[in-house]
Amino acid sequence: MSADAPILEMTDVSKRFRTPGGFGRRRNGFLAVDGVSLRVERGEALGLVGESGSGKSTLARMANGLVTPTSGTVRTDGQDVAALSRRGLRRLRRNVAMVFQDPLASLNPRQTVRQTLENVYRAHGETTSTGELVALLESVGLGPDYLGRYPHEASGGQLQRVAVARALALKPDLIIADEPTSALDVSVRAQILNLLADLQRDQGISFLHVSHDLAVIRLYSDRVAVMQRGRVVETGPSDEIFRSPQHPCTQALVAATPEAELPT
Amino acid sequence: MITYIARRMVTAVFMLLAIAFVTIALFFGASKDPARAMCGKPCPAETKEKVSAYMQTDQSVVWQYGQFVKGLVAGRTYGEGRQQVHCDAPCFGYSFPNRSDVTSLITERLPVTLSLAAGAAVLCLVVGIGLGALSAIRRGGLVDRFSTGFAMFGLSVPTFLVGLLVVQVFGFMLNALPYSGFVSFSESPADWAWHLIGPWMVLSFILAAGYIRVTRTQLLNELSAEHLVAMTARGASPRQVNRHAVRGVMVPVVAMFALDVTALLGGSVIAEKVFSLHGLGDLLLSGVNESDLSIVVGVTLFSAFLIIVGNLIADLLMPLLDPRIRRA
Repeated sequence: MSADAPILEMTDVSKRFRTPGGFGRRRNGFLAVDGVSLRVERGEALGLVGESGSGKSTLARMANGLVTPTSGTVRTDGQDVAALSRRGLRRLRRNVAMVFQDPLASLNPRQTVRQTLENVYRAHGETTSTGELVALLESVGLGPDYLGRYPHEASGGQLQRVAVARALALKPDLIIADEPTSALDVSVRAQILNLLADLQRDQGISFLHVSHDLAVIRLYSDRVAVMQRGRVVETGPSDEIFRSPQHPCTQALVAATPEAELPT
Repeated sequence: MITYIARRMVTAVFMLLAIAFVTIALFFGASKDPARAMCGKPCPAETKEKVSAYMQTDQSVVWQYGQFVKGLVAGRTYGEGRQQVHCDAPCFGYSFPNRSDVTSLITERLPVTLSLAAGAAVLCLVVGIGLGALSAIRRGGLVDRFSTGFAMFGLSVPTFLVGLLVVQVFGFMLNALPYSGFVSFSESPADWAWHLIGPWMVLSFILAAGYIRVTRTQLLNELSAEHLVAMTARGASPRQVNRHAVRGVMVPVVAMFALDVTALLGGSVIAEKVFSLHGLGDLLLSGVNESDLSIVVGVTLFSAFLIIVGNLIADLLMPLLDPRIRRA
């Protein structure tokens, strides 16, 4: 909405998941995100790193209302996500796209690429032309023949390109990428990451890039936030974090990254 | 596509011929002599022999099978002179106790079985999918707990017990429903339905249990699928998302339904017995009791034919519902 507001601003956000109770077990839930404040500026790529279970995905999913925070406020594109009506939320999601980890699971196995892409337009009451869809596929480096394919007829890297195309379909301002390359072969990983980096540069799309791989984050993010057990323990420009990590958790992550030894 | 159907049909014919042979051989191996049942109370050996020759049951299995196959193509004639009976071209055998060819016996009984099957099939789909979907959507809720228990009960209780309970409770205790008899649809549609409510309830209760369970687990699987989360994340409404989930539930339900419907059309022995309905199940049972080979072979083949056709239809529908299933 307001052009100067950051695309994503989280203030003191927490999420507690309920755990099933049982005999002799206290039902106090699991605190996945614990008082996190975070912002992503327009056009910026923020990398969110942390070990598994540190709350990265939960935090990312609060940005488009897939997960509702227990406390704190999330303002996406200047709007308070919790205050939005169902229609308002759908309108917001038009502007905030998401790319998931496993492309085979995140694409409907019973629909062709064409149907999947068309559904995005249909969800917002719009129609599209074949020419538009072909152009969309071209922007992620796929030929028009992919329109007629089913997910099981394409490779993981190709499918993730389709997933990126789906995210791009309605020209969003923010893309949440939740471990977009962890399920892919190392050889196609760089292609997808370069694709995302190009989109950021050429179309000015902001990114919230979730990963457990610091090397990936370093190359493709402007800033980094490091999470540990539900808290952000360190934030800063990528190079700085990489060169002189302050928090022990970040130091451990940097040390565990093989490329850390290479000169830059 | 057409060659595929043709190939399946040719296979089906051979399969049916094999089933016919097995049925005849098994029956032949049984110790009961069909001629003994036909020759009357004082049964001198020579009369029995004559009867046996007349019914052609004195011959070898292979010869009988050959005659059966010949009868299918050219029709079959038993006996000579005044006692001669003829069975027309697609002859599935002749029932001597009933003095009628099996084909007309089956077509005579078919309306009863058809009525029974149609109502039970519709009812079990409505109840099964309805309750299954409701319990998946409100998982752990009141409906879920009720229908899970209901399904468990339906799966574990035998048909005859449910049938007898329905007859006892609704028929005798409450006097609410007729407990036997059949009125044809053309005679009076209202009476037709009225007489069939009991058996429909029994059969659909047993069958619905399976559909409740399959629909529930399948829908739960579908609803948690990541591609639906992806749809929501991209701004699709809950209605649009649910429509996609339903497609996924259809596959196992259609596969199951094809088998159940064909089984129902082949006659439900127990339900027909309990409610004194004279359908195909009852016909088969009487055939077994009276050592009437022709009826047993005829009804068995008819059921087998239905099962083969039902499976073929299901196999043709599957790839339409789920493109990942491709015919080899």
